[in-house]
Amino acid sequence: MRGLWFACVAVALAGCSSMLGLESPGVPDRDAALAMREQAVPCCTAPQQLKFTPIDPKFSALVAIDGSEQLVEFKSGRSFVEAWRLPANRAGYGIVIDSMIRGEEVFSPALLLLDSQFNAVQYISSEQFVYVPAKGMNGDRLNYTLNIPPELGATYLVVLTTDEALSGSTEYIHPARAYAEAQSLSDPNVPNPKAKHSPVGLLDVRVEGTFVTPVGEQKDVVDRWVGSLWGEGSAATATETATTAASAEQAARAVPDSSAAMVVAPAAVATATAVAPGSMLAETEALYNDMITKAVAARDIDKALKLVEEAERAGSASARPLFVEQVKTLK
Amino acid sequence: MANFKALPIAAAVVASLAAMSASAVEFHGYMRAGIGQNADGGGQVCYGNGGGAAHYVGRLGDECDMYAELTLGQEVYNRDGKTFGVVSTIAYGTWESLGSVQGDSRGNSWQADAGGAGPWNGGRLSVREMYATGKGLVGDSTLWMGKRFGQRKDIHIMDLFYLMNSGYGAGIDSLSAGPGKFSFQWVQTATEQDPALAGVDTSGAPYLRSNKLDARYSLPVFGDHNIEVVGIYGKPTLTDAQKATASDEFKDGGYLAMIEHTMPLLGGFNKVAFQYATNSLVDGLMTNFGGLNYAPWWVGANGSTGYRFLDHGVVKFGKSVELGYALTYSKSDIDDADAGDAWRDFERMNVVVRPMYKWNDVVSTALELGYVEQQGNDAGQEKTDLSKVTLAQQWSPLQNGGFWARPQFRLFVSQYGGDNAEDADTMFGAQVEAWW
Repeated sequence: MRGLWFACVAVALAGCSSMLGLESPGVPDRDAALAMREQAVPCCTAPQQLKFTPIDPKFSALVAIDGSEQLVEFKSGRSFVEAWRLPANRAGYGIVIDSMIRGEEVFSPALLLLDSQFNAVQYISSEQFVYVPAKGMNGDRLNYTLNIPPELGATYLVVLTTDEALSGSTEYIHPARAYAEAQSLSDPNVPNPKAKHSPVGLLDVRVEGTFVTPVGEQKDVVDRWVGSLWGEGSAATATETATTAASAEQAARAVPDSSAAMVVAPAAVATATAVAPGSMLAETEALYNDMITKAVAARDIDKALKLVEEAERAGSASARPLFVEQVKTLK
Repeated sequence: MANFKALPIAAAVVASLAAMSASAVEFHGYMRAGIGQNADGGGQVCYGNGGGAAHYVGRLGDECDMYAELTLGQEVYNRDGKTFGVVSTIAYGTWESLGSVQGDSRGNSWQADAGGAGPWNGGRLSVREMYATGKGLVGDSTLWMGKRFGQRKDIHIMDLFYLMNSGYGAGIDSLSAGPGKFSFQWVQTATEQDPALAGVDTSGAPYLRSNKLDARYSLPVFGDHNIEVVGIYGKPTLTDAQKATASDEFKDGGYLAMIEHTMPLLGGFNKVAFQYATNSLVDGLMTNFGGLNYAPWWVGANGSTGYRFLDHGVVKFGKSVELGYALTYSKSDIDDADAGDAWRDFERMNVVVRPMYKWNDVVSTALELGYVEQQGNDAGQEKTDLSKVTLAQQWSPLQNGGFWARPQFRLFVSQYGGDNAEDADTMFGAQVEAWW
């Protein structure tokens, strides 16, 4: 009788396994995800083609990247992406992005910010994400706090990962070691595990109304990034400097992710066909230079930059040096 | 003159935000609490406790108490590579008996066991740690002084601290020396004189006191493996008045020697340890808290010896199964000068396994099987045993911690068997365990 009763309770407990459990995101493991990544059809060859989901100023959610997202064939490798339209915000604000380490795997994110014209304005490479150990009830994660000032003009955020990131791993503190530290035990003398970087994972994303103090040690983001992860075409090798006139001579910051220059996606069709610099018509080149001069004189630097980029796309070789010269002499 | 603002200077904005202060308070702790019931009626009955009796058939579904530790620590100085910190731990627990069968002392919001100490009956409150640390003062080691748990070693599923040289002391932790790390500490034991002991003059000095010197060396071997050797030497230090009247056996020193091998195994680890102790340090090998007490006037005088072998670990099988396991064997040879020593004079073997199956990120099911058998060394003592089977349905944030994930909510049912399982053999209840 006793045994039967015991068995009934046991079966009842086991049967409740998923009913009483919280719904948890079904994220495939790394091997399955790599296969999904190869088989998925790329959605877009230019940022304009991405479907951006708007997020509101109070957005705070767990976002599972599980292989059902849009796949883009970047120069840095194929990646499932999360594409968001950022909240329109006059003041500066911060977005905290945590990629959770689960089952010895983690999505190693890189962040691409685009302006309203889909030009890249900022790129945070995966190396800039910081490992934050489990604390309290929050798990081990890769973290970045993206503080977005209004002058950046960021309208869209794309979260992706790169082939270079996928070949790496993140060492994290063994849970037995975290337990020992919390309980005044001696170190368990076990090696820390390494979480392999996976094409899928779980993000914890939170938008704050103001700038957020970073949790980990982050490199300061100094320069406006100009470049492209999409196919050939508008890849710039020189970037603008984000400084005052006094240091306008400073060397431009190089394209941060070396892999971004590496592989050219074979199937990608560039929206802007590559045009050799110096191939522009003299009249239109002069036209652009004139507009750039006027924009700088009016202190409309945003417009001037856009003109420079357009001119370069069209093949101008003189637009950028002129702009730099203009900015130097501006008082 | 208008300010020239070229391009967005994210740096100016971000740089104005200070990085998170390094002197934030660190808050750690542990708690377990819940409710239980004997299937035959009455409160839950347990066969182990959080103290000397440990849980030789495993602790899952065998805990009848509430216990909590709250630790606050803060780094108070950080400059030139030198840091100083202060740590304090307060513990609170409901009453637990010393015997092998525990009653359930939990009740309504104010009351616990009527016979226990305050506050409001049955609750015990204690300052368990109060110490300061200094890093960067002596090489790369941590210097510490105060009351501290110290470098304890435990088998979690048995709540067994097989090395716990804790108390008031001073020491130096993890100084790099050669390929490994060296630690040393000086700790004391003090006990009030046992009134049953005849003759020792404790006027003016009611405590009988011992010093313990503890030295350890831990070094990596074979790549990922690790070997640690520990030596503790205990020696009474008596006042002249105490010495004049204490018998010689209360003045003898004794030691505990231990070697432990740790290796990574199946995504987790395995530890094998062997301990050997003489005189009063045998005490901790046979109960709980190895190396804690050196009190030959209590137990283990006159050349008593004992040893213990332990093997334990936590491993994974695939993505869904984790297993915690432990096996110990201990044997003592205690000189029976004092009949009160008999309960440490025995031989014991126990094994506990706790496999768990993870259904998803939050829900898991654990089964704990435990078996212990022991036999007193005195002639005519019989071998007795106890077994337990516990099934628990658990909810915890498993994403990363797996076996270690807390807090863990459990619904459990336990069934005991064997010679020592009195009439109380089926229990069920709900418990939460957390650490942070």
